[in-house]
Amino acid sequence: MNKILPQRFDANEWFLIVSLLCVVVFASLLPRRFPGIVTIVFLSIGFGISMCADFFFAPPPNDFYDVNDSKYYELFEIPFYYLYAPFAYLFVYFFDKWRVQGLFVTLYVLIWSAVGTGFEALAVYFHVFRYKTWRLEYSWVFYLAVQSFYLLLYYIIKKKYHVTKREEGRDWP
Amino acid sequence: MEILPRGIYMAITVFLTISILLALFFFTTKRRLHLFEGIVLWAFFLNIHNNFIGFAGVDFHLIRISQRLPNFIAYCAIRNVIFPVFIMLFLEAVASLRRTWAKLACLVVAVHLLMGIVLLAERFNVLQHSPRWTVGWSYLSWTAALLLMYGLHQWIRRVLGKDVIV
Repeated sequence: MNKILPQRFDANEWFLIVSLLCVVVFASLLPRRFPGIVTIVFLSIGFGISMCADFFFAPPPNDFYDVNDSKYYELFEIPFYYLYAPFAYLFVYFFDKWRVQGLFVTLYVLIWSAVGTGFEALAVYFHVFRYKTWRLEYSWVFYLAVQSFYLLLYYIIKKKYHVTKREEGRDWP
Repeated sequence: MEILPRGIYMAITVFLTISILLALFFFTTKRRLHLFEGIVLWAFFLNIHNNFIGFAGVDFHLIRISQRLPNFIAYCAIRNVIFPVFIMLFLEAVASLRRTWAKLACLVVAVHLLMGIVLLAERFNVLQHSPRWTVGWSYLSWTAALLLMYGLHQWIRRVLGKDVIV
């Protein structure tokens, strides 16, 4: 049981709780923008991609870093993955709201990758991540790639929604 | 640099081939599932499976995933492509059936096929079960996973149906 529970309830656990609360409250306070199902899809993608990546990079044989206090899978890794979902939602929310186009798409991805990398640096400081051979520079490249892919999915999802939308379905201009 | 034993690349070849063929089949044939359902089901399955492997495998050593890179990549293909696509095909099959007994029969077949994939992975040394693991736990875990996925699918269909033609 002591493998599941945090070894010490300290900075990394508090960081996760406070970050999750802040990002969820902020995302909930924003005016609703997407139809319900689209919101669920965007949250799912953020969550799914982060899980896919972390379960590839963190365990052996790659073993690039540990998450939280030990090499074991702790209970506090569950909220950690839920943190990515609202983060991903906010990323597409503002992209859609500000109708980012042309060269600004690249700028938007650059800024959000910087935000993601900055947040990860903060997570490293609070010992949420314990790097072994991983480096923050790799995270920067990873965020660039994933956020670009996420935008590609955003366009596909928007197109699919308009193709299959019911007449009485919620509008998503 | 570690010299890998002969045949180590067999697993990655077999499981990547299955993954690609399964994905090709899935995306090129007529689907009953909406794209949005597929995405949510995929993410939810990863949630169930990774948490299961995290606790049962990493913490309690009941399942050991290979630490050799080619076999680990084969495991990633199973986890990220083969299992989710297979479960989506199962949910499509269940949705097309009307009678409860037929749905239950479909569940039984699906559990056995999923266990067959795990057995194949075990034969290729992609993963190993601990001697403490019993076949009953395999039945229990896969049945629970499929029922959870079925429940989620029913819910997501209701939400989806409000805005989109399913």
